[in-house]
Amino acid sequence: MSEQKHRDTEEIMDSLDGIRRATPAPFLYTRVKARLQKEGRTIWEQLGSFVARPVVTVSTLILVLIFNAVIVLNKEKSVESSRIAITSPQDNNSYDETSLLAATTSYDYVNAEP
Amino acid sequence: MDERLLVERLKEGDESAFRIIVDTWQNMVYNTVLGIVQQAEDAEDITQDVFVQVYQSIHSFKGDAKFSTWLYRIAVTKSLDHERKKKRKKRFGFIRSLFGEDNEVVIHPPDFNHPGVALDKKEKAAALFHAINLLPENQRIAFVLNKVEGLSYQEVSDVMETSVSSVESLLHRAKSNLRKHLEEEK
Repeated sequence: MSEQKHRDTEEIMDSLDGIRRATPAPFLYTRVKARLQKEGRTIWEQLGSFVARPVVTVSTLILVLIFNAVIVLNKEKSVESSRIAITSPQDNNSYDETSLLAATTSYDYVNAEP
Repeated sequence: MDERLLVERLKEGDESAFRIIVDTWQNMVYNTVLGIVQQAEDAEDITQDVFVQVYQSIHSFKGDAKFSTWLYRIAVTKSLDHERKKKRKKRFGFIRSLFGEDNEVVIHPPDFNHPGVALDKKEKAAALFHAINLLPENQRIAFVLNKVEGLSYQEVSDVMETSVSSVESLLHRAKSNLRKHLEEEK
């Protein structure tokens, strides 16, 4: 029984002896040329079809929304911090210093009252 | 015509050289691809892809190896890429079916019959091809190149960019694995 099994296996193993090459359907060259023409699109056509993909469109939209949200949040933060800066006492001093500096420009010397 | 001359002409953009290349090597490429993917339609598609790549990347062929060796490498790589893609799709389909999203009927392809096998050996060859599909990639490639394409150990080693002794070992393991699979199926 096992002898027979072994013989069957060996027959299967040898079944590819004398195999001939398979051949593709005729006019392969014409089909290859057609494919080459299809792939030889301009860069703008390729870009257009890439952008038109739903995955690209949706992910770009999500990115734009995230970018906008980050900008809005940052703006709110900066407005809040500038409000704090204006109302703080330290800022009053610096305002005065600039006022003093502004009082001693060359214009003041030239137009000084007698 | 000398293959070096053909390659040079193709590099210069000669369309007739490309036609000669396709006509000369189409059977070799198709037979190799068919041996790996075991589906005529897919093999046709991949064969076209191989020649498209040849046309587009002929400038990267430096002539270190034979032109046919370069072609075999492209054919093997494209076939394996196709197999991996198919496996990924199958896995994804299985996950989708778990969530009940996929109501498509899974079609299991029938046994593969290589058109070059003699009529009296068809059934046995189909069983062998089924077992070949279960082999690891390297063993499968070495076996197909040696048994289906009839390449020598040296030629297989050139295509696979490995030593002859590695090819011998791969083929030895492939044969013992095939025997194991075939005996298990009985």
